[in-house]
Amino acid sequence: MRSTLSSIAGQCGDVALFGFRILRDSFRPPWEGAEIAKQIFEIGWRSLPLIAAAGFAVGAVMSMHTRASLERFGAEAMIPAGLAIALFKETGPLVTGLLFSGRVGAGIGAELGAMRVSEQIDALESLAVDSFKYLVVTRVMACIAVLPILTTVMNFTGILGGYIAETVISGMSFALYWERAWSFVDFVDYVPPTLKTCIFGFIIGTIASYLGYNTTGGTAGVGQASTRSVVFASILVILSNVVLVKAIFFLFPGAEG
Amino acid sequence: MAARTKILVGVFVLGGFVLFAAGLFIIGDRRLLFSDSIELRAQFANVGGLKVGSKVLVSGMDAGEVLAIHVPARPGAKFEVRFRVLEKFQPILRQDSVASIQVEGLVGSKILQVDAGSETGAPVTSGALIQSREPVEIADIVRDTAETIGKAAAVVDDVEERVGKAIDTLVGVGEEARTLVVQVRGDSREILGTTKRVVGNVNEIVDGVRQGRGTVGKLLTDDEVYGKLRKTVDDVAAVAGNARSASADVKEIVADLKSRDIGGKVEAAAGNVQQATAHAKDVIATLKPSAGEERGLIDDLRDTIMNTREATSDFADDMEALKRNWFFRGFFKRRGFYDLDEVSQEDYLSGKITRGREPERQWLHRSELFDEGPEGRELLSEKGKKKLAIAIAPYLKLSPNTLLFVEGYASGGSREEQFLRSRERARMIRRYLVQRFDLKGNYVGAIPMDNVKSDWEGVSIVWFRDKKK
Repeated sequence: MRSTLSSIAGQCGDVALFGFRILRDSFRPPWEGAEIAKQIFEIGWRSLPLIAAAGFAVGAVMSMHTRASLERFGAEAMIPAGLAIALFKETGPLVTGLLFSGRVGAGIGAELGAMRVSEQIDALESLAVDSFKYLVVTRVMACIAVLPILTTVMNFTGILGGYIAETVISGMSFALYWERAWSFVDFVDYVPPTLKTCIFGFIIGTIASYLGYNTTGGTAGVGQASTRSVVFASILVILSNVVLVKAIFFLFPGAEG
Repeated sequence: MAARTKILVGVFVLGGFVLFAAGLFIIGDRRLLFSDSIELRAQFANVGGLKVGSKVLVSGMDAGEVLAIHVPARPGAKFEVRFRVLEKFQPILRQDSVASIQVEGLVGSKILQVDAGSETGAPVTSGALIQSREPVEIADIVRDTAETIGKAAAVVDDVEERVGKAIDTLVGVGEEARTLVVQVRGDSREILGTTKRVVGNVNEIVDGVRQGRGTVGKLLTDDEVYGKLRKTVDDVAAVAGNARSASADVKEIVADLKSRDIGGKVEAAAGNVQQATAHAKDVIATLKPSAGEERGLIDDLRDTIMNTREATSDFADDMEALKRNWFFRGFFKRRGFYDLDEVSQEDYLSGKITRGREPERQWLHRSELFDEGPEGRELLSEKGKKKLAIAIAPYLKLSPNTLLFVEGYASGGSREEQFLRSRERARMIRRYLVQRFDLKGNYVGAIPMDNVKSDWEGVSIVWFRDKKK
């Protein structure tokens, strides 16, 4: 029991140090721009269809659900505004973070794990390439850069999905829907929640890279690293969100309203 | 890395950034951050939950946002709300525009509503302070309503009490008035009786005088006396002339007074009048019965009326004497100041009383009016009453001061019998008419026409109306 606890604490400390190393190394040349661009293409561009489809579906479903509730109070006019507020403030960032940790966390964990067990990382080191900077920092940077963009895509496709669901049921015009959707959205409802996904990106990238970079136990270890990456990244995104929301309320008092 | 990949990465990153920026602009545009605007101020004792960033509506249209809310420095002062309004609304805003804090929809957030100003109001410039109306809280309304209802209830109680007292007072006054009226009625009856008696006496005297009896009678029939009187009248005329010149002197004096500045004196007089008024107030106060004092104004009034009654009785005597005096008789006769029920046949036939008036006459036969009663007396029949009502109807439409005579006629038998029967018929009909139609007794006369050559059996009703001018 005690050894388990000390092992968990040790792992946490290890991950924290790993994260600090990423931050530190990200401010040091060489910048590996090409590799970052390649990672953005891999984890960002290729996630677009997933995020867009998910956003569209989430928007449509939320529209239908809020309709059921708001109809009781005769407040159907509030559907677009409610949907937009919910999407921008929480649903968009969180769903994007979870989808991202599923797709990208698993990918990074498996890729780096496979490179570790197949000793490709050792080969890079022998070529005097800083494998940590080349493989880990670039991926984490890409995650940080991509998540806000994907979140914005999720937000707008969500609003679009909500419009489709709304217009099918009530025949509302796009102009009115658009006008109402933005009626309650303020800067504090839009900017801080979108930018907090940078932290989600850092968490997902760091966890997945750590687990993949430190994979042991051959092929089975690769699979384990992949699975763990998804699980830990997801749970950490959700948990960190609690702190982040509170932090936003603290820094931007208007966001509570 | 392939060139295509680089392009896609660029598209992805730029596209993402543009999309994000688009969101910022949409929100900014909705909050009207990118349009020219002016800043205005309004003061509130209670900001009712308004926040920095709350919407500002001008006449219901989105026009800006609240920029800042300054907390006052001391308790009595007001919060100052600074807010931004789009410049395009400036033409309809005036310094008398009123800002009020309202709820957007039923459960929405608080907004600042600004009304357009009046046509004549001064235009606003940036930084201007406009009027404000404090927000109405439901709790305040409920509290005010409760207070108002409480006050209304108190007022109603008070009014009820006062009305009760007033009614009591009125009832008391009514009682007193009734008692008073009852007394006065008795008194007035006495006065009337006295008057009648006096008239009777004077009649006798006048008859005597006319026949040359006594000193006055001699005076009237003596030419020498007439001459003396004539002289006296001349003297009176001379006196009147003196009076006229005296009157002219008075006029002069008045003119003289007017010509002098008597404003100050008038003021002094006004002061005296004020004093007199104060005294009068005291006097009035003494008239009112104070608490515990039973004798009050009403009792004093009663005494006064008693005195008045006596005075009236005396005055009535004097007046009657005056009426019969040869000097004034003509005047009173011309004015019809006789009590017609006392007029003699002689006076009636002489036409002095009815001079200048037009007679209208209704003939009623004995058989239409009377039934045979016991001992041969005549009684007014039901048919007769109806006939009388029809006959009198035109008279009733005229002024109540129109003279009415009932002439009684009888033929056959001795002169005495004729007189008595005609007198009885006339008086019976007169009595009935006065009672039945509530006529003024002194305007209705009953004249027995016994020594008039006529074969008529019954009565004739005659009224004399003023000739139409």
